[in-house]
Amino acid sequence: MSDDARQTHAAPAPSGENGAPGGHGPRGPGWVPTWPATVGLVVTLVASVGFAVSFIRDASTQWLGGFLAAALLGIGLALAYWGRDLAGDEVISGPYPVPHEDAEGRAALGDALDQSVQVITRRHFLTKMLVFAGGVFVLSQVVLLGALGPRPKNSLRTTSWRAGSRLVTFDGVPVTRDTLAAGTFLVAFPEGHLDSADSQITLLRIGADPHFKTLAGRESWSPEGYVAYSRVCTHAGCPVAQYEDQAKVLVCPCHQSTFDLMNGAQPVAGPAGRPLPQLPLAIDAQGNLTAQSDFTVPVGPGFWDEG
Amino acid sequence: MAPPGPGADIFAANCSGCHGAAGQGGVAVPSLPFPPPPLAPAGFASLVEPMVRQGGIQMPSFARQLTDAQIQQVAQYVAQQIADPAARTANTAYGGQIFRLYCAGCHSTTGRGGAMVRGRNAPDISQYPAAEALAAMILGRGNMPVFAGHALDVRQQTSVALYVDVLVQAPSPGGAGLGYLGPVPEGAVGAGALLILIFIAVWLAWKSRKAVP
Ligand code: FES
Repeated sequence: MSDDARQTHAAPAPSGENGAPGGHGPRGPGWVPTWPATVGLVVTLVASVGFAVSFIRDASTQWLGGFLAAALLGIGLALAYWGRDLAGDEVISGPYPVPHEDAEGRAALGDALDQSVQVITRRHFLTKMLVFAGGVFVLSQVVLLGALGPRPKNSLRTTSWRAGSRLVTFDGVPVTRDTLAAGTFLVAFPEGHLDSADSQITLLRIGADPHFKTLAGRESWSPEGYVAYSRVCTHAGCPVAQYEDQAKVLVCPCHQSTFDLMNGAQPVAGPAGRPLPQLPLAIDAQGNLTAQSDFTVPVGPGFWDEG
Repeated sequence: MAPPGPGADIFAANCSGCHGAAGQGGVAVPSLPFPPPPLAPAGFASLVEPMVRQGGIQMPSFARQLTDAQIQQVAQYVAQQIADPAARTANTAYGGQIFRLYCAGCHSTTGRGGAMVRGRNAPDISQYPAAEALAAMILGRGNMPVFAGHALDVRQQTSVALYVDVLVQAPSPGGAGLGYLGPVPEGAVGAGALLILIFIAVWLAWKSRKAVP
């Protein structure tokens, strides 16, 4: 903001000298430069486009935040500057005059209003610019809707397990029939999918424990005392990370859902309402543990029967 | 196989009675609930030394029987001659990865322990020398299953112990650790501070109200 603009306002021109709207010279009374507001709006324009482009190109959040801040700052400064321009910056102090008794004050107020009207009419360009920049800004926010898609399709019902997938450790080492002894466990993944969070399983060797209940239809799922359950909690999806060896339960550290390993990982306490899905296991000719198929039910929280 | 030296003599005199002449473990000691574990994963003198000096859950402290120099010698001997060579390839960051996968679920990411169901709890491991983590992985304790030899090989066990050593000694760059119990005590402190600030604000407003005639 230039100094002369402020001075012009600080000493408002006496009435009658303002001239016709837009008609006087560039440095006439009441003149304020439009360029600061224009610059602000141009910044908004450029930053809005930058925001949309960086969102589409998956740029970092720093870029998104920076552009958003610049766009809002630009439009905000432009409006603030313009608003100051419209209102003038006369300071009236002392007791507030009663308008109909104070002809001079009334005249001054009328002048100020006149001046504002002139400013508005002189600022057609600025108005158009404001609408344009504001519109582009709003449009640039539409790209955010892209974050809602794509549709998950079948991905919530399936994991990376396939018939014949070998079980590997977090290191990618295949699990063999000799890896575990009765009462020990490890976390296993499908070979080639070490980062597949929904495929992680707790592999446990029950051995020949007489308390282990084989559920109907799952007679062939636990060869040589190996059983595997999804490690994704059926309550809210935390990893079911706690194993209690004496109680033979898996416990979810998030809300203490407790799953009975001796009875199909049925929940026996806590908020989970569904057993952990069991992965059907097999042992191949080389002694490696493999999956017979994917899980037979979706893993994780029950999204399909909600709402 | 081990060359004779002061470390070997100290080991033979003080350690082999429980851990076996070659550190293979498995010597039944009637007074102990768990057999003394094998020393295969003890591949670093920095893990062995604190255990010998302070003792652990079952193992007594040897600080009175042995001088500082002797403790260092025997720790070197165990790490270089007794432990499995694979243990010496262990890596702390790799141990951190394993710790978060297998240990943090119960002992929490800070190792300060955590609540389990039915009033049980996983102990705070920072109160023991890090080598005690090796014993726990090898022997299993209470509800903790055996990891050694099944889920974790020697190099992985040693890596976990190295990580535990760093973890429990790490300074707290964020100020007071608040027992490393996580968000609950932190939130409590935050709420307490908020109450105090509200009180001060009310008090100030009260004062200024009185000041106005
Ligand atoms: S997510 Fe496992 S109990 Fe809530």
